[in-house]
Amino acid sequence: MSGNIGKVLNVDLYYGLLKEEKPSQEEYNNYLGGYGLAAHRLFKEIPPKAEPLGPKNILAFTTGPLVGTPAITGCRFTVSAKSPLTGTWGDSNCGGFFGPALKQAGYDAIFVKGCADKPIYLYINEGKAELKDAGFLWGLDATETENMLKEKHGKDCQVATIGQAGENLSFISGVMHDGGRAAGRSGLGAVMGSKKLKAVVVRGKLSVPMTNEEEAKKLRQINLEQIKENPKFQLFQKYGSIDHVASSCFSNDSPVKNWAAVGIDEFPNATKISDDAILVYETKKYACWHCPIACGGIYSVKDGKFAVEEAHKPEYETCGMFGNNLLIDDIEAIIKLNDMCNRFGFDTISAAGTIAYAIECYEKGYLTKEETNGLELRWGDAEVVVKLLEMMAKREGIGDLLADGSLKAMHKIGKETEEFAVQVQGQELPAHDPKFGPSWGTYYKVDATPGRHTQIGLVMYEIGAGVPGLTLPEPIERYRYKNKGTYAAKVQNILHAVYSTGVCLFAVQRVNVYAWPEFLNAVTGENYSIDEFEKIGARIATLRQAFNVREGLDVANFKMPGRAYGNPPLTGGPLKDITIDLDTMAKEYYGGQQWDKSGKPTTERLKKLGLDFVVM
Amino acid sequence: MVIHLPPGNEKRKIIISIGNKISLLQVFTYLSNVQEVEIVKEIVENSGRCIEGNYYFILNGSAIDFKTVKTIFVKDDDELYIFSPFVGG
Repeated sequence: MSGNIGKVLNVDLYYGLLKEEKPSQEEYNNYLGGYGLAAHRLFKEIPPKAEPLGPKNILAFTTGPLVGTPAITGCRFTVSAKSPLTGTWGDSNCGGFFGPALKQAGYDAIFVKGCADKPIYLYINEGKAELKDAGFLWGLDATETENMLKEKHGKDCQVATIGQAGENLSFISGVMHDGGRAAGRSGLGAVMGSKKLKAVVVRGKLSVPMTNEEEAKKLRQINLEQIKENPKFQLFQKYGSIDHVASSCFSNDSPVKNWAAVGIDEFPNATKISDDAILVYETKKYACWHCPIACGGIYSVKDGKFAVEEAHKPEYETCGMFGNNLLIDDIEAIIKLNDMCNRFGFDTISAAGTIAYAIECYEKGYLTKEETNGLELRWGDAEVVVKLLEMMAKREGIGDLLADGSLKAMHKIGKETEEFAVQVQGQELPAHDPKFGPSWGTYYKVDATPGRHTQIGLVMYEIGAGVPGLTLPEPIERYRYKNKGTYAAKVQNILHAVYSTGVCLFAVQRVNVYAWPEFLNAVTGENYSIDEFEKIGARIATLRQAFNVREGLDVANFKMPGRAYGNPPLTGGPLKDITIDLDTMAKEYYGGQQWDKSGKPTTERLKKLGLDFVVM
Repeated sequence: MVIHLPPGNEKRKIIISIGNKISLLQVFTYLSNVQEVEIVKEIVENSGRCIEGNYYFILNGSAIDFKTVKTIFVKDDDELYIFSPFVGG
């Protein structure tokens, strides 16, 4: 069981049962951890067509075999369940300290089913798990909840929790950790809220067993030296993801005015919400557990209407979605909005995307002042956005309409506003435009959790780089579509396995890909190769897809919003007249995965991947 | 002509006087050799690339390919943005 503790915890909240289980070595080997392990468990144990907010849905907290080890950025935990936002497979991962702490507390994963009849939290203290009353926490925001639980159980515990948005079953709520880290996407905070599970608290000092810890440490050193040779690495350490807020806006990689405008023309102040303009507010650096990159930061806005005493640094996605997408050029407002989302437990991408939808509806007369409770929804008005977020968290007035994302709101406001709801299957698109990196479009459409920027894969090649160390048989050009889908599947499968070990996207973008099986071999004593990673990743991709097919979803026809692929194209700016060939890429992707035209995995493919238990 | 540089550079904005119409490559060469702007030097030496991908250029609101800088001519009121490769996060 090297690399893993060798135990998972099954929780049934209806009966109040906690049961330890020792997964087989085969399961660890075949699915690793993260959303791989979760896909295996949840496919088998969530019945088809289960209500996402009902007792039969299962909420998984999984780590991975590299979590809590010397592997660079081995700190992620993944939350998975059937998503209430999309009705599909849902997963979302998060950094910070909770992942390693869960293993140190004695478990590789937790699987929660059933719903409690009153608010509770799960407390795990070095192998001893118990359910505790959370009445005193219900109604508190995520940061207050963490602070209170740390006061009660000690500063050395780690907490994953929901804020008011999750309690109120907002479909765009996430699971929060450490005052500003988030497993934000897919609406998994609502699943946690539906179970009345306010928090999971873990503490312990157990060590992760490793076959060759010294070798893992050596690999860490070697790979760190390699990535430090790149002068751009120091820049990323300084800025983190905010390095490219303005670049993305001006190139129109990032959406402007709800994906309909040209950044360089309509948001010339993007530099006011980017890189150095943000760093001014940094009071100290923040690093996730043992992370050498340390791209995070703690922020403070001392006074003014958006004053915040202590908050996490807003990431690129947050700046892009609340900034250029809403035409807000006040960085203090964005720091405040980020903190509000962290506290309420909102996914910043979906929250801002939904607000952009509402503003456009208002602008074009589909929402009246009466319907917005007297608020005038205007582009660039940060104070109104603050108010809207509060109302969404509490489900008050117009906030109730918006709390479940733009698609659900569109169903109520009217089909004629469909164009303004920039989402796939209900999930708002993140701040990367497929017209800039066409393979974003492929992944937004075909991935089992649609609309996700962390499935980055082939985009790394489109910008002229690639996954470090992974050379493809032919060069990838940004706007040449042939074979692109096939390679998108190949690269994504390898990365599915890498992510399922529990490491961070920001390391994946910089560390040689061959290092990940090396780390895993040192830690587990197994003999993984990149080819084996590709096969494991294909298994994970296919199982997540099978989950959606079994739900009866028309996966091949998940509809991409026209604005995101150039239908109609922009009439100016760097992406003028670009329409990407999404159909070709998606069809080829299915071919690359050996799924049929409808997106259904073939029987032969299932057998080859050892997924015989999947009956389609 | 105004040239905007990406984060990490001491100067984020350079203004140069073009005078006669010259090619963008000549501008780059001037910035690299005469003004010794490190990032432009790197761009010229590596044909618009670096380890993290291709630099991205926007001239007067339109994207341009580094391969074409020899044939693009600029004048005083032109504006160029240079972006380091970014893949998001």
